Amino acid sequence: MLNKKMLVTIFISALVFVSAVNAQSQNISDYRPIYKSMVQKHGNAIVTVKFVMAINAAGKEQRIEDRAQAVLVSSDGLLLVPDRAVSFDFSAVSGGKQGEAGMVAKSSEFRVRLVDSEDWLTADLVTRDSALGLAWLRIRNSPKNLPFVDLSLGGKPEPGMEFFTLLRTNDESGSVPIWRPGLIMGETHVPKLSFLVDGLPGLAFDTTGKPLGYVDINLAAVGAARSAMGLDMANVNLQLTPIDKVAYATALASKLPVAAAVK
Amino acid sequence: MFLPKSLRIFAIVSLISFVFSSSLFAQTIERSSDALRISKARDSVLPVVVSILTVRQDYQQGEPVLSVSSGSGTVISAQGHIATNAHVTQNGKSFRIVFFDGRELPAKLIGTDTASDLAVLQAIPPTPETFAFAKFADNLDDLTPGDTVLAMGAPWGLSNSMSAGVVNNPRRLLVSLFDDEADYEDRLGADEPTGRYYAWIQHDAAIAPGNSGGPLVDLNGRIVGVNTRGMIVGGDLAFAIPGPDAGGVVERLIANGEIKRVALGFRLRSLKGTRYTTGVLINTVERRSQADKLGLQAGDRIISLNGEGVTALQPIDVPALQRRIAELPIGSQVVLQIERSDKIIDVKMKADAQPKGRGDDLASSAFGISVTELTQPMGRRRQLDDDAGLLITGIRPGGAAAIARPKLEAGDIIRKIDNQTISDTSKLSNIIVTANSEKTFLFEVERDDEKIVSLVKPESNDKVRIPLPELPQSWAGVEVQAISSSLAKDMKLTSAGYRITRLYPDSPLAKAGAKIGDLLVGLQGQKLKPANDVASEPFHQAVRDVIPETEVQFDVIRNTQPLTFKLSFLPAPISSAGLRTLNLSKLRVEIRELGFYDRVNGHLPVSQKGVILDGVESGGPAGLAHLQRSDVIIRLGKSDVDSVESLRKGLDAALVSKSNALIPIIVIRGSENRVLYLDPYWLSN
Repeated sequence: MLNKKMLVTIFISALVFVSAVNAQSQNISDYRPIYKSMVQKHGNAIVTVKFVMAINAAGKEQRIEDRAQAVLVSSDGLLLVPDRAVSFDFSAVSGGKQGEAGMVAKSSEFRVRLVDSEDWLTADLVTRDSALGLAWLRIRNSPKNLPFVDLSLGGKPEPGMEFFTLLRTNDESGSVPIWRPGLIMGETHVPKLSFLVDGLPGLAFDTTGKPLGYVDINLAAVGAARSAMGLDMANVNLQLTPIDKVAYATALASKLPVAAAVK
Repeated sequence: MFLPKSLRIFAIVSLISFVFSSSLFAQTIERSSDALRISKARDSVLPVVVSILTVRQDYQQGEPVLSVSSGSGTVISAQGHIATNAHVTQNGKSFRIVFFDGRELPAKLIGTDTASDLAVLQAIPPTPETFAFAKFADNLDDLTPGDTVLAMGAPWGLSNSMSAGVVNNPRRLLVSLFDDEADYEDRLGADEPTGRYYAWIQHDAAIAPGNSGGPLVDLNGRIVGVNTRGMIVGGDLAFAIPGPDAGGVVERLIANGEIKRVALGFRLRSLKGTRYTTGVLINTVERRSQADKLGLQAGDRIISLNGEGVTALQPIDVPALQRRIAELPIGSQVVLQIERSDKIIDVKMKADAQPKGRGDDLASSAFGISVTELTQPMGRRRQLDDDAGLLITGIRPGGAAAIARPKLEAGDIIRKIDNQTISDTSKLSNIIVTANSEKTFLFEVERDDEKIVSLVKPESNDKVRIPLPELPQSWAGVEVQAISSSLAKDMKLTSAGYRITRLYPDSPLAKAGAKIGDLLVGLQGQKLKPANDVASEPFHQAVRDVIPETEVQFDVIRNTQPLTFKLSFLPAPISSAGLRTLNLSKLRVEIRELGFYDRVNGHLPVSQKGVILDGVESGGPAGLAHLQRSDVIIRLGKSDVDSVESLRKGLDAALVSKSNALIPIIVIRGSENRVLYLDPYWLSN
């Protein structure tokens, strides 16, 4: 039996499909030079991070292992990750106010695998910015001179621009860099300045390899945007936080020590 | 004789009335007689029926988890022995008995027999005492369908309960008309089958979870059964272990602590559906068993056992034969006369002791695994070539085994560690003692017939908790409601803006003199203009866009009068995720610092001290003291609690006294302050 939830799922899937088709039909006819240049320039700064997310249920931790994409943003091992990889506030999807005293799943035991390395290095949480949806980790005993993306050298996103999200596959798929084109579909100032985009979550670059911003899903917005037979698809999209905001917060985070553990 | 019509009617009515009243009178006598018998039966057994609280230790995600469950039992000796079900005491770490008069005593496990699902506990009184007790019925020959029976115990933990019903069938095998009897034993339990050796008493006296182990009593006051199974869905169907069988098992448990039985390596099925009228069929032959080695085959018909004829015409006759074989003297010679393809064969066997069904459990936080020792039956069911090893039953996500190279998985069988054969949990325990994060261990495991090696690096930082800090964000300390231009016009307000709906104590706007109902129309000279009637988030975002502790000016309208507030935003209060937490293993709780939003949502004063419970393990000391998630602990014993460390210290101080007196805990729960009592007994057990 079809229900409203299933319809929403079908429509979102359709949206993703249409987005992909649209993205592929942009003016650039040969993406190979862009791919080559971008992977060469930033590929090694895109890494995967594993973590364990835990929530306390009836006094006992329930734990799941998960992984996310991370971007090296300094040569000494500062990593940018989505905040949802560090904490997940259930009030965000249930319509409550975030950041208060609700049920929050928290992550720990972060491990990072650098490119061309077989070792999983331990990383510690530095801080996070739940409003921006970002968090920062620091590799413990980090190797020096790591490749990184300099967020201060960012470009200016504008509606109508094409961008590329750079990602890395997991070990099982060879840990190789991949990218995915996306399109900036609009701009909003409500509740904050952000760009409405299609594509995939992660750090977005322009065609010259300049970081444009961080693309992620806005769970609260998606939750509020549900539409069944009305087919109102305008609100089903990802959000791109402009790179200047990401860079500013990253600069603040880079000066902080790692969070202290409580034993 | 002729009677006038009126008299005839009178006579008939009188006759009917007499017959009816006679019948009523007879029923009343019968009912009062039944009531008398019920009350006599009740008085002879109910005072020795007990409730049992079991703190269980199970394993989840590679770690031990404590929970509490309840059951029922009957005092069966003057020394305080209590008969109950084995599943009531299963995985029990500690036990508490609640007597008829409400008195509570700790108890120890004397013995358990999972094959019959029976166990014996013994109450531990502070000074020696003689207990009142009851006995099991010696035989049930006269128990018939329709006999009234009473179920006594603690359904859903409600002690001293009694229900009445009738016997539906005094010899019930749990095989319906639609089942193959051969599947029966497979349904009795995977590694520890129960109920193989008796037929059940089926009755309809209402029982529920918590009745397990309690007595089934007839109107002569005899314990005719031990209530063991019930059907929650589908009506009042209850099943009890027959009293004489139970009595024999518990006697042996009290004497020896265990029951040893014989296994010959085959299972039986009745002659039902065959042309035979004597004997019993071999249903299955276990691979690599003695029966297998001697060439016994499924389908062979056993005619006699040690010279005595055996016959099971119907499935209900099989349990008694299984039991007869199981109770042969261990080590004795057994002679089976077998018929196969119309030939009679004599087979001589040795009565081997039945191997343990399931091995011991162990968890290792250093390796992040829980394991169960393999036994011969477990190995056989999993079709393993070798029964020596440890079965991994759970993996701690993110733990050492989960990130081993390659990772270990639940279902793997550990055969060796660092080339040392691991045949039992004691071998693993010896290795755990040497495990530290500087060392790696080479595990050899079997997975789906493959022999895999994995390098495991133990972990020592098991219970580290990291609060999640945030970059400082500006905070005005209000909740607001969006008033759009059109709404403002309709409400006859002079401007759009954000109307203050809640003012947090000591917040920047509160200190600046703002009031609920004030309309915030501008910030730093920029108009605050909501895009719609519902979204208040843009206001908070406008505040967050200002660097904390910067001096700002709000333009405000109060009752049509324009006002300005000058203030500095404070950093936003720390959310619950950013507060420090502690896993206090002594209490089996997770506690957290009391935060701003806890105080606000709990309507507590800003100065309120305490710690909040983020999680309570039901079988831990705190759970048994009825502490709950979200309780705010403000006092423990004689110590005020104002931080996670102070709770730990307060607990240590309370335990130093060693008086075994209950430790009072004061908590804030909702709008009340409540006292709860922590029992040192649970802390030490």
